[in-house]
Amino acid sequence: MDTNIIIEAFRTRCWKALTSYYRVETVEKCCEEALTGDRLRPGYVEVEAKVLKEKLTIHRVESMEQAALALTCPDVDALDAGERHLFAHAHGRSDAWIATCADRAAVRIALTLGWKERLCSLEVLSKPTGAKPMLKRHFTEDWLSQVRTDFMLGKLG
Amino acid sequence: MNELIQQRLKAAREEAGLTQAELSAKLGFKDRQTLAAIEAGQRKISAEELLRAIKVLALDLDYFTDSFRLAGEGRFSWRTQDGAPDKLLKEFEDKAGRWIATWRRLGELQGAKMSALQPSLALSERSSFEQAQAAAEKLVEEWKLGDVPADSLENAIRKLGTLVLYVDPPQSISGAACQVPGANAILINRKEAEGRRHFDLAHELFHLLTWEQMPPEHAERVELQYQGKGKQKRIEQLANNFAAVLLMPERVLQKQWQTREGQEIHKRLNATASDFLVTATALKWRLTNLGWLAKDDFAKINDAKLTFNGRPRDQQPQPGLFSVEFVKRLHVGLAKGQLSVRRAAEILDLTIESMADLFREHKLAAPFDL
Repeated sequence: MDTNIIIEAFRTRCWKALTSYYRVETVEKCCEEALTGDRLRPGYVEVEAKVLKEKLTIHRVESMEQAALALTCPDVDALDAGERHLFAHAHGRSDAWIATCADRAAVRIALTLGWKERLCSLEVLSKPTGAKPMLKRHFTEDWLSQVRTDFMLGKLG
Repeated sequence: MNELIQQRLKAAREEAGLTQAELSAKLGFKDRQTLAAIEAGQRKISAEELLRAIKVLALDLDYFTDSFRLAGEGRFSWRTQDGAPDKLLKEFEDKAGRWIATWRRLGELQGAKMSALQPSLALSERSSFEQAQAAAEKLVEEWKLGDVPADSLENAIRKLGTLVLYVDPPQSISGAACQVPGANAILINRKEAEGRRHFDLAHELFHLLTWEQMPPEHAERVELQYQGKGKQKRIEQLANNFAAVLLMPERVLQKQWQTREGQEIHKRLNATASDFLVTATALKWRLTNLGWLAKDDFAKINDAKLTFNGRPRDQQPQPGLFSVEFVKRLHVGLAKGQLSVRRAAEILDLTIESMADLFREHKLAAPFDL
């Protein structure tokens, strides 16, 4: 999960349900981003460090993983540090995993990397957990489906 | 082969003053040909080799892989009010470099037309002030800048393919000219008075149009009567002469100045400066250079009474952050997934919420709901 998903899961109060149902993983940079922010700005979502890390597996991403991804997919510079680190970590894994993204560029690059079947919306992910979060559009299956279609039609990038 | 990495590896090696043979030895290659092939795009670099290069050249991964950053390219000339500290300039230059690189990168992805030609003025440091002034008068005609050139100058500059960005730099920075391959830019402090912004724009334009023959200093102080010495003094004086004529061409100025003949000198200067959307101080020097200010009038001028910087402050519109064209290109970039929302916010040094405000400020709907 990347920073956007973590923040939305906290905003909609489905984080505990998600981490109880799945083995949720992220990278250090995404945690750092989720925990950083101006508390005084409108729309700020409080992510409590203790709650965030309670059942979360957090990976450290080495320079070698980042370099390997940059060489495989030069376009990865379109992503921010957290997204890039998460993709670098995922790129080096061969076991079973699914990723959830809510950003067009992140979805485009995931599809470029051949992760079509691994992408899942937060909406779909939260269904079996029993949580019924009121998600913003980017976190819905409709949105993800539209971005996938746009990618297939060559409208992205 | 990743073209960016090959270009930047070569640039970093040259910047470090190393030959291919020397860097090859440091990287542990058996011969120079391996590095030559990598730099020519004929052989892929491996992740291990790239990390070794990063270590040897004391750079970071982003230097080689981030196309939204200037690396080993781009020259800046800053205009500062009171000599901004180097550290402050360096930090702001790094940010500004990212904006310009983003503009260029998104332009490439969006198929924006970029001319292979670099416009320039046929002037050198040996040119006379009269020649610089004549060049400005010609541009006023050629670009049809009209009776208030300050009003249409920005559009004319954009047509040259130069990016104009209105930014919020640290207070001591007024603006900058940035010469970047494929993306020349002028940065203007949008919080400055309108008249000063216009003068900065015209002054920086001069630097962009004469950079090769008269490279400006990395940082110069804003002074209508430049106090520096030698060659740089000459360049800044030429730039100020050019800017003054570009904003106040003789033919129009003569008409406006004569209309107010007989008025009290401060009132006359302030009102005429307002007509041209320039500072009254800039007008004073323009009139002095034209020989249109009588000696006793000049002696009577109290600079503290030259209060109008273009129009009265409360009637001056403040430009939106960056520019419409920049924000539009960013909008398309986000809508097409050419960069992520968080990445854009990181580059612009804004929060996601303030980036949504930026789009609204430029009358565009934010292309995200995060």
